[in-house]
Amino acid sequence: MAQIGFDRRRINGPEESFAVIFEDNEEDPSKWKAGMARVGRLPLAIRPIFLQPGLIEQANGSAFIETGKTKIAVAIYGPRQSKNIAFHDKGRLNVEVKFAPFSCQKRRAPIRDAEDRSIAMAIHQAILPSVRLETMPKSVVDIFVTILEADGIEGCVAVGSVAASAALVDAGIEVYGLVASTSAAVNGDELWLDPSNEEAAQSKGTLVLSSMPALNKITSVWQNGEMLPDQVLAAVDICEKQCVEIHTVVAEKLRETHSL
Amino acid sequence: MISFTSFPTQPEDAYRTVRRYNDDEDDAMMDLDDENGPSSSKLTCPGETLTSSHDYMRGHGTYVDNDEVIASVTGTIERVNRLVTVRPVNSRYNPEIGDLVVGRIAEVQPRRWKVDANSRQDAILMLSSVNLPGGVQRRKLESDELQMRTFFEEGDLLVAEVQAFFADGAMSLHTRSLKYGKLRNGQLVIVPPVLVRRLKSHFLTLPCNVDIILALNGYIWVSKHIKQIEQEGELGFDAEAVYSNQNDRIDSSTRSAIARVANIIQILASHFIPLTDTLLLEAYEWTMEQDSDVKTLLQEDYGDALVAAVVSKE
Amino acid sequence: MASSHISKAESSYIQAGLTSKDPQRLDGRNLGDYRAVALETGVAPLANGSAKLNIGRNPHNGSGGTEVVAATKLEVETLEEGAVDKGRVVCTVTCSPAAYPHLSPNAVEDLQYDLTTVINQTLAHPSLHPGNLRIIPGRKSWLLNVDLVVLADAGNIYDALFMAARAALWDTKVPRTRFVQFKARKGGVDNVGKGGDGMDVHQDVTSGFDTRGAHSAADFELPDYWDEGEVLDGRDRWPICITLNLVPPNHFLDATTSEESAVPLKLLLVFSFASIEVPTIQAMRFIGTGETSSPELRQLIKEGQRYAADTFKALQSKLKAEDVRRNQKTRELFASR
Repeated sequence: MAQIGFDRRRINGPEESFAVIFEDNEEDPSKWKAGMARVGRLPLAIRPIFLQPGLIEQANGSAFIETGKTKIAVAIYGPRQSKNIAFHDKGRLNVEVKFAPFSCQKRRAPIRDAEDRSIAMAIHQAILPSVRLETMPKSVVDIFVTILEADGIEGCVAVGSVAASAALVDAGIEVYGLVASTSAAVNGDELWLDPSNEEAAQSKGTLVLSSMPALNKITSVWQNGEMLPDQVLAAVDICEKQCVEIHTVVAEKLRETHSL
Repeated sequence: MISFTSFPTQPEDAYRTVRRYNDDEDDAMMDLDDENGPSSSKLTCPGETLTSSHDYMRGHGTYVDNDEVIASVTGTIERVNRLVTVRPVNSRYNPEIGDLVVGRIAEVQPRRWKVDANSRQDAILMLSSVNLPGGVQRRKLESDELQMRTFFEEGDLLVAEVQAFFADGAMSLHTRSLKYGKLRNGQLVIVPPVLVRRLKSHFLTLPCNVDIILALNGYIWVSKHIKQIEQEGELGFDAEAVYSNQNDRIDSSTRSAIARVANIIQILASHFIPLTDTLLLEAYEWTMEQDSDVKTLLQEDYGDALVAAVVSKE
Repeated sequence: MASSHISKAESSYIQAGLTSKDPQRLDGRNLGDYRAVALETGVAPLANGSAKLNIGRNPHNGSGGTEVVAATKLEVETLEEGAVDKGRVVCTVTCSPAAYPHLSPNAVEDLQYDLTTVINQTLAHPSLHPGNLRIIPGRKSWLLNVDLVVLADAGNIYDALFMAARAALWDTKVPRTRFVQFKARKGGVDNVGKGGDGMDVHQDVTSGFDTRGAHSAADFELPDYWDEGEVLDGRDRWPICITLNLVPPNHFLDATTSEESAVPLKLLLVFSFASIEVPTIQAMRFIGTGETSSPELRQLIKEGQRYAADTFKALQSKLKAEDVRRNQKTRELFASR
């Protein structure tokens, strides 16, 4: 059989071939199946956060944040006079989110899409109640969020809000308190904090809670997917506790940066 | 509480019954020399020939083409001597000098406010036509110009009188009377301007402790009754109170009376009934006789019953 | 409404009424009352399912109110390699410029973007995915488009959108399809296509260059049947939204335009009632300034669930009544032939 189909004009491959065998990656979450325990992390553990305020020199305030595979840079311009807008006795907050083309598995064409705006809306809502807009009539604060590397939309919202709030403080804009934010996902019967992209995709429902831990106030809850009311409340409580810790880290970092 | 209703069903044969147009040809040229004039119940159709332009002059709502006066709006024909006008069934407010209007500040400009008064153009309220703090008539100062927003700011409602017209047709308002000024303690109801007729007084007070300002531009302000200030002229003027944004304390019964009057006005307006002081009073008394809740007024049959009761009395 | 923003005096008048011990609203409603909601299904004959909804229509002259038309349309989608094999749901909200005369075209566009985001994130979530959108496993499936058009906005747009979407999805009929497959006879590659006759091909040899390798072809056909198709799988699950307008210590439902501009913060709670006892929350959003605390939130979710259950029951019975009405109408039309 093989000889009949033999083609002498070409270099023929070996008659037998084997598929490459990869070494089994133990921490591969795609192997996860419903009901299994979380791989690589405890359910309520979050990935370590690296925050650096004031990296972008030309901006009035800025912050860079990195946690796991998520990397986000936030720049703040303002408060500055808003143009072509009628008089307003309160300031306005303008959040724009941009994904870098290389931020995801698939290339993101550099045009505005629906996801940009939905993340911008969520971040806007998370930090809006914290800003003292009544102290800056007629002005606008522009917040530009650049997502350099994304690992799940929930993570982007949560981490983006933390960075935006830190950048607001870096810009010297009056706020009621720092905003901390955490995401959570329901996987099986467990609640996992700070889910990665795969974990969020496999979960039934996700939730992002933003709060001002210093004032014990919730600024926003951004929830999607199927969750029982009790699960939501449990998630809110757990996330709120986590936010207190994130708040401590952010506050420490801000103090450290500015005392230099 | 939530309740679902259906959209009104169209009669099955709505499309089949073709409305027969009254094609009396000789009726087309109206006999304007008739003693009674053109019958007021007849509505014109745009493009309808009214009369010859040799005998009559065209007024508002008409135009001349081929020696004929032709209607340009749907409305009723009115004739004064040789002038033919058509008054539209529905239109935006057409201001006249001396009219009472309620308006909303749209913009603050140098030495003037732009006011939305449901008209074709924004009305203009000059800084020189408002009462300034300090009591006596005085020249406006630079300091007044700098703090115009402390008098009126965007979104504020005010009652004023049409004082004059600018060359471009925009109306100029003034609030140089204690009756006029910023509006507080109540809520706004918007009705078609044609439903507000010119009355002896547009400031009504119902016995239920409610004031109504029936402005000619169709913006109606329903508020808590405020005692008339006794002093005449500029003496009773208190800038603090006039330009305040704070509401007085309003008790629960007054609040529900205001809501009730607002709902009544809305019902009457949606039945296209012109609003007068007697009518509003009758309607209010009727609802009080029924001893009903304010929110029953939102029900369709109750509203119909109200209209039937009030109209039958007229 | 002539303009969207109201004066400080009006706003404080509304707030004072809502927060007082004996709360009162501008039109006399209680805090938990909706305006009258008019609903009709089957309004768009060319759609697979449709509904028209109006909240707060003036009963006397039919003017006013928030009006939304929802329609679903199914399209056949050929799956690419690696695509999800279950069909897709895509929701879009379009705002008529007539509904927002005071907004600039750009602002209207942003608004419909925002509304689309909330609706699409909720209704297209995998947990609500209907099971019968598959046509040919691995090859073809239905793309379920849910299109919502806002014709007028007199407040409470989110509740209206979700209710209209639910009604349209309830009304949606998925056409019946029959799977047809053609299989080539064993060893008879030539029988698949018409070509190949001119070439001299050995019957027992399979050439590597033979790209007509498809031994079978599969497609579907629409069988003739007396009805328009079957209903969407799991249509009881489609959620409804309850917007709680927060004026501490009170909250109220179904805000009008002026009430909305006097209230800083609202909470959207989207509930799904797969079973009436254990509803699930499908989405939650805060919109506006102002903050809340977790005990307050706990209370709000509890109250919201109660309101949602009432609304769900009312909507469900209305949808069933609509089905009956339309069956009746069809029967009458048929009889009159």
